[in-house]
Amino acid sequence: MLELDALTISQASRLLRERAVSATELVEATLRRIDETEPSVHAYVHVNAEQALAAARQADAEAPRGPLHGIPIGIKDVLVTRDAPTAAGSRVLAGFTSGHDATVVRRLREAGAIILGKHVTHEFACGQDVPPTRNPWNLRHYPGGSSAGGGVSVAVGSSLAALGTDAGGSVRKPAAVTATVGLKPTHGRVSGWGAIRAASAPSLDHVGTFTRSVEDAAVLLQAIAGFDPADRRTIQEPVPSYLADLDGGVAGLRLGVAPGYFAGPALEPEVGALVHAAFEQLERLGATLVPVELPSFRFTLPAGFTILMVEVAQPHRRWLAERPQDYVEATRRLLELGSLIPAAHLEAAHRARMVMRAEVQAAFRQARLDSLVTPTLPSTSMALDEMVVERDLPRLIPFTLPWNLTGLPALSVPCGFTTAGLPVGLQVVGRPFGEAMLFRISHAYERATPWHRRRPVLADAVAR
Amino acid sequence: MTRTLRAADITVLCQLSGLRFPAEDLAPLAQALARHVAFVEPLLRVAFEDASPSLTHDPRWAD
Repeated sequence: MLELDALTISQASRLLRERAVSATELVEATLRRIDETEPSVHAYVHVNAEQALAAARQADAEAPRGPLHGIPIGIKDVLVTRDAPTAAGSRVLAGFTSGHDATVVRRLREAGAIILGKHVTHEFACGQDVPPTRNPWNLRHYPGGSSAGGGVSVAVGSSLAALGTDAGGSVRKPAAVTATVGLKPTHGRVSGWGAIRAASAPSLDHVGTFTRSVEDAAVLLQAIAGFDPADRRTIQEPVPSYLADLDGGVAGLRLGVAPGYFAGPALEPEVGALVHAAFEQLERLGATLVPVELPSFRFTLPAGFTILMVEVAQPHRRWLAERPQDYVEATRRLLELGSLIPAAHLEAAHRARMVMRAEVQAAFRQARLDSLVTPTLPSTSMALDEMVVERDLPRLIPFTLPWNLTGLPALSVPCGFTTAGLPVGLQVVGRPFGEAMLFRISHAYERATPWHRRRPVLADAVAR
Repeated sequence: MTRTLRAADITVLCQLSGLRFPAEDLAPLAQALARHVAFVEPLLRVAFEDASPSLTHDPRWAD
């Protein structure tokens, strides 16, 4: 019996190569896991069982194409797939099927991956509504968003990996609260063609990955990275081997730490203790922590929210006028507000963004940094019945949003659990196109710690 | 400084911008826009004259 809630892509790929398991058996087991877990966690909005099984049978009949051959993967419901509806979590797009694959989905299929279905998102990835998805570490708690289903599904084993999108933390946030690895690559590293425009802020948005290990994140990025003529945001930078230096360790590396974390909110004490224990672990492994000052990062929230709201609102003008009742009220109000933001605010936000970019570049150069390390979130996942979205959402993203504004790659790796059993994430941030260094640092940390091996037990999550 | 905005102000802004929103949204939007103006105020007070607004999203650093 395959234990899917513990299996990584690398382990599954080895089993497939050795013919110890077939792609069909792997997909069948994953579909059974979906049946077992969906009543509790609601990670999927659409499951493509028949197409997934057909693709698995075809994979079994072919020579292996690489490490993703036969691996079942879920896709956020804002990335179009040719054989499933893409509604971006909204009644506005109910029943919409593109007939095309997003570039990242096409690249996964070309690498032999099996597309299982679509994962739940907040409506238009805006984070304003409460989707049905629940956190498997405590079913009363927020699963993170907007890529809510992706993190949860990977955590419970109803997919071996997932693709999400991240315009302010929408991959790293759910990764941190589900004890999975969440990667937001450099802006321009991965094509966003095929992401629903109405659920995207193009200058901030990134397609990212959820996996159960850092190595798996490297494998997945290898398959989806690279220039795409269909997306002018992608950049013609060579794609290195992301596995080549994975075992390089952190000895001799210089990791920047910003005291006070950009004037963001105070950390919950247990989160602070776990993140500082992670810093100490990195020091024991041979890294040097270097304090850095990033004073302009105190403008992260006003600058980031302004750009985010303006960019995501723009495609909604006609729907807001003609079909306002099809939106969740909170989403509609956010989009309406985004439509009314004065140009002077947007201009000031873009100026602040340039100052932040210059400042972080100077910090990396002057302090000779290999990376920055921060908490992913200032708090753990909160109870849904205590959560007030308008109040709590801005509190969650002051450490993730800066890297959407600056375009730098950032990865969240599990760094422990609170006494209530809720996961906490450590964020590693790199230079532009420096994903290989992120993988090297977080892999060294992961190998030295047990957190990524702990899996949620749904019966316990119900009982708490 | 929090500005006082009313539903009628939102109506004018919508007319100027060619936007059409449900009538029941106008009063809450006036409050939300006032809050946003206050939220962005620190950004407007800072002198960023030396910085051009970002015109490209290429994240690479100039050498």
